[in-house]
Amino acid sequence: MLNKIISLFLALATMFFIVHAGLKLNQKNCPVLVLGFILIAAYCIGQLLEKIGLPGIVGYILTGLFMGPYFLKFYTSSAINELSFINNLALAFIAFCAGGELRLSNIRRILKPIIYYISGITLVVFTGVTLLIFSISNLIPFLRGLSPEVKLAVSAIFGVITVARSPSSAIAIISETKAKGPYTDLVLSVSVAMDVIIIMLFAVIISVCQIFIHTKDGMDLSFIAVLIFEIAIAFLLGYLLGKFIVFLIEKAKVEFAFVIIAMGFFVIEFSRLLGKYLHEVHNIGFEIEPLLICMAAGFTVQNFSDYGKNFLERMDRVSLPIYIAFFAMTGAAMNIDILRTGWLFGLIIVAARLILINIGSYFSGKLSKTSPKIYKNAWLGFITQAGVSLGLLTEVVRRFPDIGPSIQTILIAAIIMNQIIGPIAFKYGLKKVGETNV
Amino acid sequence: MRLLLSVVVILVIALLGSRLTFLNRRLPLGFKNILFTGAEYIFIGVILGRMGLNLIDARSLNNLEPFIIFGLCWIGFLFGLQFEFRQLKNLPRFYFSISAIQAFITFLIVSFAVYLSFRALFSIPKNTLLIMAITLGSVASCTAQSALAIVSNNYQFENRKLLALLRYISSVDGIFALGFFTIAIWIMPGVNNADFSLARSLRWFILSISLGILSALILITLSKTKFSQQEFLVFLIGTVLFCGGLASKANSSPLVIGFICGTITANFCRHRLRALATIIHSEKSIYIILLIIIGASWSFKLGYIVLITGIYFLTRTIGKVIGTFTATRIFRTEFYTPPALGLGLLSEGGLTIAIIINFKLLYPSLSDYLVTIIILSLFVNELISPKFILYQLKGFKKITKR
Repeated sequence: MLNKIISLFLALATMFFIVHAGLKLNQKNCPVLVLGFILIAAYCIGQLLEKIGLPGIVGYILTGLFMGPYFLKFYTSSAINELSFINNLALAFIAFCAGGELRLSNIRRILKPIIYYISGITLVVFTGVTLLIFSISNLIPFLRGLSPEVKLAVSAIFGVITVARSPSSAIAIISETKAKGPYTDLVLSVSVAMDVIIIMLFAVIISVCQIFIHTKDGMDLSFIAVLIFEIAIAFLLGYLLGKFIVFLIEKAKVEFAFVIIAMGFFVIEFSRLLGKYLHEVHNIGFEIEPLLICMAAGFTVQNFSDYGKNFLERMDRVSLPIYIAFFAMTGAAMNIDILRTGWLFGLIIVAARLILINIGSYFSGKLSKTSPKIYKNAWLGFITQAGVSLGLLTEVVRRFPDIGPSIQTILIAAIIMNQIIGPIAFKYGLKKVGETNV
Repeated sequence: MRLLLSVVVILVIALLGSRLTFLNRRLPLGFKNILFTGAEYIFIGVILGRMGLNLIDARSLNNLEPFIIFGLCWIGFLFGLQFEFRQLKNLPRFYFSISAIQAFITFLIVSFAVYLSFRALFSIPKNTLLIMAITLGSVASCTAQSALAIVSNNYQFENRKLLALLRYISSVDGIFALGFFTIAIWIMPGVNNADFSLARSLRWFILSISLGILSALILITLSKTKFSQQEFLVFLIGTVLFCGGLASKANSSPLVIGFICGTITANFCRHRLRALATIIHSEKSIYIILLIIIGASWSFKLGYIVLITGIYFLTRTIGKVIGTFTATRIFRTEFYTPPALGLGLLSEGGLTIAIIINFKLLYPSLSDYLVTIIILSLFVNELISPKFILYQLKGFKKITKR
């Protein structure tokens, strides 16, 4: 451990010397330097935290946060923006892994609990948070003076976003602890499936809310058909991509990790450009979710070929640098100013969410007759929150430019807290049920 | 869109190319050597670049800068990793002196000739001219092993010692090339500093060396405890990125600093071979990407530059011959060395390209001439070098084709 502390000290001292010593050096942002430093520092800090029983990813996130623009100032927000493509690549990689981790045989075995948990937690958390925000709406400055309908609509937006969770954090913890077993399968399957369901649920809720907030005349439900079509297309493309990956494993012996990363990049850019093109040229709002494509591709390789194990093993070989970079970037992108502004209501939401997830998962487990060991600890695995929630919040701001930023401030504060608490809780849960293998 | 297309195209070509380049084909030795070194990817770059389809335009190239920094540092690091002093001692020590003399004489002749030619034909400021001449001298002094590998793969030799000497020189003289290139940057560290200042240059030199050493120290310390292969990958990628980033921040060469980091790692890290095994597979892909990038960024205009290319090619050949002749006469080997042995050291290959890309990174406005000279001479040298090697070895012992 001493060696890691020395390495960390060397990296920190070098960065301090380069950035703060007043040398007349190249003033341009240097994303390569930031990425290299983050990899080394986050790894060392992650290891130190693992020594005291905390998950490594908390170390990665905290490294990104503390080395960044708010504390040690080793890099600026614009340098992090320049590295945002790394985040996209990592997300695509994690989505491939998430799909690959879903085995049909396992899902079939625990299908009933999965359905119960998804429905139970969604119902309890959504209803609970909506009612909570509605009941304290007079205390929230930007909701004061609004009509009850609008308050209820905004509360529902809070409710739906708190339902979202983070499969990426779950996968990183599973990879770190090498966990295996029914608890792991359940948490992972529910988290991944929720990623798909939350997008649909969000679309429905936000459209209903728009009627109340913007007092529209009627509700146009055609978007649901479009949404289902988008998801179907994403799954189809994912299936085809998965088959192509199988072909690559079988026939072409190329650098596998490179191919997967290149494909992830291509899928993300292709989806973005297609959406932009359809919107700008044909005025059609049609967006394919790239992460769904990657997830479906991973799922296809795992379940419709003989190379599922091979695929995951190859992905696992290169996964650590990707996880470290991704979570450290997530930490670096955290906005402390927002946390300062929205921490109180954020804290209330976090506390309420924890209690509601606990209640929801406890009863879902009881009703689906999973073993007590699992249903008493399942809630610990459902706290993590990250990418999808942030994406949905961006959409909220876009649709409601007047009140959207205020909603975003409070919820980002809550998400930041969940990003730290979630992995710790999940690792603790895995240890409690005895499914870690480190 | 353009960046997406360019990245995808480059990656696909690099990945497939890393498989195809080393396939056996029934071709004349020179062409085989070109395919072996992957020089054909320069043409692909030209087609994709500003002289062709403009798919990889100037903006895309600019956006690829972080990757170029990483790629150069990775190559420098890998090159340095191969210099374990204990292994170098396995061959006679004066081999190193022969390599040094050969590289130094070639460097001097080429730098001098190129300096005079540019001065006579172009109006370029003195300092700039000096940097360009030294850089060309440095790339001229290094030799690629590809032609020797092609020849020894296709022929059997009775005199293995002479071949071993050529191999040794070609594997070692890159150190001197990097050293000479460091001198070039030392004169003008950073494109904005047009005038020479000894204090600034010394400060830059010490800083650059220290950054390479520091990066290596981090890697060595990290790898002192027990670690998994996944963790080792984090150490290697993290260190190379950090090292390349530091070089870029200090207006220094990622290639040179990566080399320093690699050499220190090779000699003080217990896991040298593991590091080599982990990263060597990616070398081909990174190298191909650099070749495509140099092709794409090439801007060729017919003019005096072709004449200077001819001068460069000629003086390099003369430098190699005189350098090797002088060195083998000062340090006599126990076996006969032909007087024109230097003709066996014409292949230019990978490090040359890396140095020129690094030059382009540091001094973008000065690089067009140098890129033209290197690309043209590289093709000629790769084409003729196997024949010249055979010629040298043939004159001495009978060579039987396999």
